[in-house]
Amino acid sequence: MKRLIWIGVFFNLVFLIFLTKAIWQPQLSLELKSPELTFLQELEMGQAVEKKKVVLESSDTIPDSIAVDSLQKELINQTYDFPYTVNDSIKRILFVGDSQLENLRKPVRKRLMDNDYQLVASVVWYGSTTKQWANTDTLAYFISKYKPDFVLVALGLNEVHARDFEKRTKYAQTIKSNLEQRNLPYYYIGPAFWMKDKGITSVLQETFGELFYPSHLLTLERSNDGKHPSKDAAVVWFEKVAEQITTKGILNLGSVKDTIYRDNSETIFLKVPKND
Amino acid sequence: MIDFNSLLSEFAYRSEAPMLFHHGIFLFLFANFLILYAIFYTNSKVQKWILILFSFYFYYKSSGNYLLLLLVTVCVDYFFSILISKTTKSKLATFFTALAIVFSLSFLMYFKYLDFFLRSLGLGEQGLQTASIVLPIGISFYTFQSISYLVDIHRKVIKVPSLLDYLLYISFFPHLVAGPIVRAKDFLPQLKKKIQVTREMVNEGFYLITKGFIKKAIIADFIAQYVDIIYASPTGASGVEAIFAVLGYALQIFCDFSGYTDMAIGIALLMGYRLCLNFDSPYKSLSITQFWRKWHISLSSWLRDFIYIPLGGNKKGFVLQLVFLLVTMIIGGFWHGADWKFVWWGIGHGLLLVFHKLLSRWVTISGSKIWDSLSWILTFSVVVILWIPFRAVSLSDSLILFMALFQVIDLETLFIFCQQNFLYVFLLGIGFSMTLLNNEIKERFKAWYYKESIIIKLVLLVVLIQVMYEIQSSEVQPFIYFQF
Repeated sequence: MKRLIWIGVFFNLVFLIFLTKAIWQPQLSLELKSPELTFLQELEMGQAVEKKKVVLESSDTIPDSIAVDSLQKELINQTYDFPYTVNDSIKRILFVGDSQLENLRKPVRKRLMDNDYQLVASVVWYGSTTKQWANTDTLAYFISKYKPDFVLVALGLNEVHARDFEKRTKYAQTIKSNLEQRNLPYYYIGPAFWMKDKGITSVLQETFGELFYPSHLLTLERSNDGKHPSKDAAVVWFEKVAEQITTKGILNLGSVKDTIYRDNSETIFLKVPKND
Repeated sequence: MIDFNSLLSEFAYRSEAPMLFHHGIFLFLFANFLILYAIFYTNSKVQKWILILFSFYFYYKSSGNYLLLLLVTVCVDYFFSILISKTTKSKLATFFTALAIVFSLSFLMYFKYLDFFLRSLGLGEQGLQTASIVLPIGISFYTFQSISYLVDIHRKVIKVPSLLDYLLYISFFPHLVAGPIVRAKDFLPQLKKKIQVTREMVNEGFYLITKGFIKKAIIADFIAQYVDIIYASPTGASGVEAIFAVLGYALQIFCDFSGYTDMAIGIALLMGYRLCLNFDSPYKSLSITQFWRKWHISLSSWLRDFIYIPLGGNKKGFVLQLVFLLVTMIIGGFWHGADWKFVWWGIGHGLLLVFHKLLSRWVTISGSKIWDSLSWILTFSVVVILWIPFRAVSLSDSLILFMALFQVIDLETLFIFCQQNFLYVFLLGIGFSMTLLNNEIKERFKAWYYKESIIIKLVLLVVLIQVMYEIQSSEVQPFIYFQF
């Protein structure tokens, strides 16, 4: 049985090698890309970037509230043919996020319209995480296109098992700074997890602070997949979010009406654009 | 620095992170268990108890308190097996066997199928709020194992073993949570012999563990990341995306399951036990009948011996044989999950088997290379297509993805896709090459691996683990068959 003992020693050695690596964190690592985006999504973004190469020519179009430093210039110059201006007369809300928006966007639209806000567009990016929203120009593009003056974010459901908190914090902070640099008020609807997450909620809560709704605390009915809140649950969910938003004085979403509205908001599904 | 709190929590049960063979914690525990196991080599009883306790702990790490359910099932089944063997009247023995089988199946029905039946009967939208009923991991496997044991006792194929041996047979951790479904008649005789771990067994064990690791932790887990994206929302998937997702899942499920089985068999070999082969290059099959002789062999042989043959097999005429075949495959499909999609998958395979039986009866097939190539293409295509409903969230999603396969593909799109997702396409290529490789080449590679020194084997394993860390998603990707 010496053989078995040597096998045990062998495996212990392998384990020790990786334990040592985990403790001392040497720099050696391979940078391999995992396919988190479908190529069509990347192509779409690439096309958007290529088509819109207009550089802002006069500083008149840049609102005073945005600091015009070199980084900001670069962001604004980056590609879009819709110079960023804020329309103050109508409250235009842009709703962005992951697949949670599929069931959430209708109750959001209804509640916004009950309170004389306008949901200009919903951007549903299936499978997306804070990484995609931080590392691409998707958010910037749709902000420039729809010129909202408020952004609602519902993101994080796909990060339930995420443990790379340093990276996730960086992504969340990038999203936050992308909004703050444009002087855009926002609110972050936390992911409505169906199970206990590994810590992403804490990361998001710390990053967004008072502008974060802890949806994970709600007990919501789930769809057939057992993960996404169902259509009925999404109504209840946003009722709770709306109460919080109103209480904090971020938006006034206190009214609930029986009116049925025409849907004139746009919905963008990031896989392939789809008619709603 | 080391966080001792989180280190200690690694040893406790966590439902979101069951202990898998390719996890560091398992490596550490198994390594030290093996040393303890070897120390008590001269005392087989103690050695068996150490193995049983480690198996219990392994199951506890996977399923928490459902370990108690396993213990109850084992004790009750053992009691019934004694009753069956001591009964002289055959009708009474049959009655006890049936009772024991009903007892074993009752847990499986409750945990796995109750909600499905209630929903199917329209009893409430959510059935009995069964979101709170967690499926004990491996229940489908050990239930089928105990049924095979009881029937073999009834048929007097085997004698009642000691409780210790029976406990070890059911709880033996390599096969406990995701198969293979080991027969008592194959495993119990090994427990009576003195454990021998030869150099060949060690070489084979390491080889299988390494092979299984590459398949599961590297290929299957990486491919899953892309496959999940397309299957989560197949609407609007282009032809190229659909084809790569469909092929990806076919490879994923094979690498995931056979990779796990390879590791299970390899680990068992390191302890001196030999488990049955569960996959024999199924994607090289030239017919659907051959596919089912090579895919999940332990399940298909169980279905043959305990469903198909008892129903009548081919002894009651050709038409009934086809009916029994279809019924067996429906049960086989249903075993995979409490959802109509698995039933449809079983029906699909059942109909294909029936069709093949009819074709074989009326058409004499020559063994020409052209015919073999066509047979392979057809068999591979239907098997891959039938994985679509197996994986898709709903039947409508399956249809959407299936229709997407027929979209026109242009070479430019294909080229861009391969460029953008080079690693995915590369691993797909590697994975399919491994599965379709000529046996001679496989044997040559195996011989090279056996010859190499322990240092090379160590370096290879370290490099593979490092590759796994680099490409793994942040989500735990449990073994697909864990859910069964």
